[in-house]
Amino acid sequence: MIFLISFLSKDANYIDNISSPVITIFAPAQKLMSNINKNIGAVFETIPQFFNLKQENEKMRQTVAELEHYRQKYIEYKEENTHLRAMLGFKQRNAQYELEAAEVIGRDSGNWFNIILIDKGLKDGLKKDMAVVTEEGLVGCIITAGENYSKVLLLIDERSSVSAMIQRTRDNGILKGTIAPAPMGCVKMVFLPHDASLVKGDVVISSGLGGIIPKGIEIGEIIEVKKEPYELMQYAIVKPAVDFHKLERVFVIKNQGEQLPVEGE
Amino acid sequence: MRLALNVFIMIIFLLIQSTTVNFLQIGSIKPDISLVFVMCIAMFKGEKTGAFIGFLNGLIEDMLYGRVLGFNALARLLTGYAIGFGTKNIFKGPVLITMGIVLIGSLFHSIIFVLLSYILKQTSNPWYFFMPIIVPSAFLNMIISPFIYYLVSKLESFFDYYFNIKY
Repeated sequence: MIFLISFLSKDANYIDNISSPVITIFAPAQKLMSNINKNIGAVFETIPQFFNLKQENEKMRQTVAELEHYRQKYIEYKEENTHLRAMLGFKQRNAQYELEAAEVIGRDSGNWFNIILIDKGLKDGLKKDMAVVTEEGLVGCIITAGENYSKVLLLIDERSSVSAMIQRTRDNGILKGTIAPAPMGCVKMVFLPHDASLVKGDVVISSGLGGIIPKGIEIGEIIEVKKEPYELMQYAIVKPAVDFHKLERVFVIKNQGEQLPVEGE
Repeated sequence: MRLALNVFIMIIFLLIQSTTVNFLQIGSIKPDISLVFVMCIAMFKGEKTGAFIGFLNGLIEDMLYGRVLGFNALARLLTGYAIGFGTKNIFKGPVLITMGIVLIGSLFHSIIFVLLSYILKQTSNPWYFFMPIIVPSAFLNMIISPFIYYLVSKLESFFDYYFNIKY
């Protein structure tokens, strides 16, 4: 026997030749058994977990509540991030202006007039008659500046009056607030020349006349053009670009008179 | 002390009105919870307290958002007085009566407001927005009035207990 073993051990390939077919036959069965073994193992591992299910469920609920809280925060931060990015983009595109970012902290409680409060004032360099804008367009102008707050008269307030022009035709006019016959939320542009060829969709921008609002800031677009009865002028109803109900952050233009030199100029 | 607490609650209502309520507006119209509070106080406490709370409410609002000081103060003072005086002998138990009083009070306030704004040259064509602004806002005030009336009634019961019975 010893002689036979020592004889076979001299040739390693010999044992391979014998065992290979055996392994080939046994391998699938081994694999099957191994899988069954794993599953049985998993079942046996699960049994003690049944006793902890209640605790685990409670823990999971807490985790879900926490994650839901984080999800809400994430959505809020995402929205804020998008908004801030848009504001940053606006600031970079308008490098000629010295812009001061401000947050809207309150709004006129009535339905009649449209005034907002922002959290920046004299100590931040803001003063009366400075233009207030967002990345969407013109918001209005400051009517009172306190130490750490400012009152902003919105474009849609009927006491507001802004020099504006039609971007395509360069016709000038005056934008009054929401006055008859402009519907709620829209403004009336008056003193437009009777021969101006205005069409629905024309973009209205600030004309810079009057020295308060800088030239070229988008205000909105025309939704209707009409002739004044018995007058040589026509008027347009303009839908503002800014959604005044959703104002959260705004920019105040601090240097409308003297524009900053743009890099590369 | 009791009046001071009512003033404090009125200020809270005013702060909510100028911040949170803007998110509840329907179209361009929002309810005026501080005005409804003034009317509810006037219903409970009578014309003098109603006028005083209304005056303070309007004055603070003028200082915060107005361009003419005393403009809102006068409109709310008159509303508080009128509601307090006009509802003196009315039984205010049923919700519908409260709602009706608030509806009439809101319309009264808006008419006073519009007249004052016209006299003070704050508006050029005041009646143009009568239907789109004044009527819907009065109805919104009417809808929220039972909740604020209930809150005021609970606060008044608490104040009655605290100031008249306990001490």
